[in-house]
Amino acid sequence: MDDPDFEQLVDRFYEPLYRFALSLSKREHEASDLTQHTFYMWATKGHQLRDKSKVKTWLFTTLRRAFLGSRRRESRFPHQEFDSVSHELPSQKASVVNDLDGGIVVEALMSVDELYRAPLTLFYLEEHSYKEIAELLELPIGTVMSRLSRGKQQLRDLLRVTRAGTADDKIVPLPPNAQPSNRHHG
Amino acid sequence: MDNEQAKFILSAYRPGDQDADDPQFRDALAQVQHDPDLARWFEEQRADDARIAEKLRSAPIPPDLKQTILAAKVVVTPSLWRRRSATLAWAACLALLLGLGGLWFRAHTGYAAFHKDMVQAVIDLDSLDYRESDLARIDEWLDQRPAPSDFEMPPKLSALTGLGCRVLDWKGSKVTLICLNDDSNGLRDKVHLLVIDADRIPGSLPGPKPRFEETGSIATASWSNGDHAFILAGHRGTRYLASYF
Repeated sequence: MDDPDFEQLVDRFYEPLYRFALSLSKREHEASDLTQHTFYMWATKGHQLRDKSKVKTWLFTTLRRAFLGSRRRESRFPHQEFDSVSHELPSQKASVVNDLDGGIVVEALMSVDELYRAPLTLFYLEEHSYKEIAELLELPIGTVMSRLSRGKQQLRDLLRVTRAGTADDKIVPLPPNAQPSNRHHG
Repeated sequence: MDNEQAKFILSAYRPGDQDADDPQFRDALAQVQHDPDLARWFEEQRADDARIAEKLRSAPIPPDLKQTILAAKVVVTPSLWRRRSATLAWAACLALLLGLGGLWFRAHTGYAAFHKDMVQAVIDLDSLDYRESDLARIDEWLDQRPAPSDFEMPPKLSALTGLGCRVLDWKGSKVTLICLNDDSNGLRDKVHLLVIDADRIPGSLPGPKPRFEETGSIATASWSNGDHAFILAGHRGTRYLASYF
């Protein structure tokens, strides 16, 4: 095998990279493409990285740059937006965070403002310290801390809304013949 | 440090113990030991963070993703290997050509060429593609074009008002030019920020600290931050430009 490290790298990082990509793009197929593209870039250009201890940062940075590049292209040639994730993820709601499905937590994470989403996802993936997040996103450390603090608050608010949604789900709907009619009688 | 400051810092503390030795957290963690309310908050925060991290890690991954990545490597590797072999075989011959060619190439496409062309672009600047004073709107406008837009300006520059922007073409690469209006000191002067993706310029680039130069009537400050290379250009000399950093 000419490059035994490649498979180890894929093993170690493809899942967190995919999750980071999903939080950025909000689309499963695009997240898969970004993850594949990142490893393709590693296979073709990874040998240029002199400091191999930076592999993790290199991979996440490459993925983010690919996403930013695709977003710029999309804004030139926008395709129809649709919230595929909301259909793909389970819609079941539970009463506490502990009982929430992983998909719902990801869904909430993807609803967090874009400004906070990337640092927050990197934080929860636990792969990077706040210093590494600052380096990866090219932000001052104080800005990363501030975005983490606000992003967490926003995520918790969203999860609280999800939890509140459970109460709404429990409201028994009126039977069809009891619904107010919009029909006009002439 | 009050509790709000401690909470702010501890928001960046990962739910595992990876950050336990980071001195940045030392004071805030010490405060946790002495303040029961803060300790309760921190415990709840970490428990929530650990649950969210666990949920995120348990979210489904496309089952064929790993195999697809590995399969793509099989396609990439042989062609790379062939390229490497060919490169080795011709390396001795190419070294001489590359050495000579590299000197020519850098003189015409490297950072010095970029700097020279951008100084000329500022001298020749006669119109803007988009006139707008609000930098956020300029950023939105640039976002919709294939030009560098996702960069951070030095804080003192981002405090200025804009006059507008223009997208330039440099050897097939797009360069963002933002014209800024500085009337903060009563001088009412203009400065121009030029930004290009760093990987578009072969060879070495200025570092993160600005490098000041004067070329005729134009003073410049040049720096880069990894993703982007920047030139700030103006007519009032390097000392004036230095006040923005």
